[in-house]
Amino acid sequence: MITQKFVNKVTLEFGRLIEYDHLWEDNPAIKEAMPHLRISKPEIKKKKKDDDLSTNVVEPDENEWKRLIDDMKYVRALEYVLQNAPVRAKDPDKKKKAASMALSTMMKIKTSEISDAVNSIPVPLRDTLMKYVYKGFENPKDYSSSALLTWHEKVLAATGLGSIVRVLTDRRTV
Amino acid sequence: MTQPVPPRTSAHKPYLDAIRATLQAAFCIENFESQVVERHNKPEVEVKSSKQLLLNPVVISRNQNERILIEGSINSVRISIGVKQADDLEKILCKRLMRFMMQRADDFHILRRKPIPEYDISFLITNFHAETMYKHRLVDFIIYFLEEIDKEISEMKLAVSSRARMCAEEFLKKFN
Repeated sequence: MITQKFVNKVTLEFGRLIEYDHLWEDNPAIKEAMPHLRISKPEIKKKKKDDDLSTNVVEPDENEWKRLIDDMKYVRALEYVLQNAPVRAKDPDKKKKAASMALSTMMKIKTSEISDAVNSIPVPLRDTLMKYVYKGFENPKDYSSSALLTWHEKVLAATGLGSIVRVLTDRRTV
Repeated sequence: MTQPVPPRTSAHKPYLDAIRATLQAAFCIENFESQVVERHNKPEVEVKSSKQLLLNPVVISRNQNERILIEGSINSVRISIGVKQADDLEKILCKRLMRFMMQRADDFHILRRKPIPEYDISFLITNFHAETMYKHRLVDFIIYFLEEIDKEISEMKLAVSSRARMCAEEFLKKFN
């Protein structure tokens, strides 16, 4: 139900938000309130071309990755996949392929070498690494959960609770 | 103050540590009234009224059978537990035990009456629970629950087989 109080509140608070964050356009309360809001249509900017998520897709190249795996450079291979992780992609197959690349690399790295591997991965990529750890937990059949738990522990030690919070909140899922 | 939860060292420590860390991260909940209906306050993880209010659901598994699903939102967290059930007897015992608890969910406060499909038992913790109870104690409780459930079920299994043996003995004495 749209009361005057709600209209005033929304006009103040969300008027600016709608301009910058396009997710709010799908909110059912906002949709219902839009005709009542004192925001003129031209103020709502159209999605800019470079905001379009599908144009910013990177993907790890399978051949490049295989080459690194064959050279036994597992940590370098993992870094490569994390760098080019398809976080902005909408295609689930792309994500699945990249996830299987990342997780199989993680399984190949020995338990004793995991903490060194985590420390050598640059800080911005550690969040993506944590995302892949949680992704691996979803398929305990394919990926050893005990190894993943060790990875989880080591990444947590290197990054702290913040990385888990970022896994839970980040829209760019892996 | 309050009874301390007895610390246990178990083989499942990495699993429980991962769960504890994830729960601590997911437990950032605050009051959030419904945007759709005036004067209503609903747990957003159940109602799912808007995508912005939900966190990404996360699974933590120890093996194929034991896993935990943690779904967060702005004012509530839903934790679903899949309990290890090795054979038919354990399946029946687990189902009975969970049903027993879920029927008394009102007194339990944080328990959900029906588990999420594919899981055995679910907790729903809202910001109101977090206001009346300490968040770190709630996390401790969930971990304790996980440890105890396995123990309970194996104890019950032993009790069932010993009772069955005694009954059979008494019965067959008649034919001696």
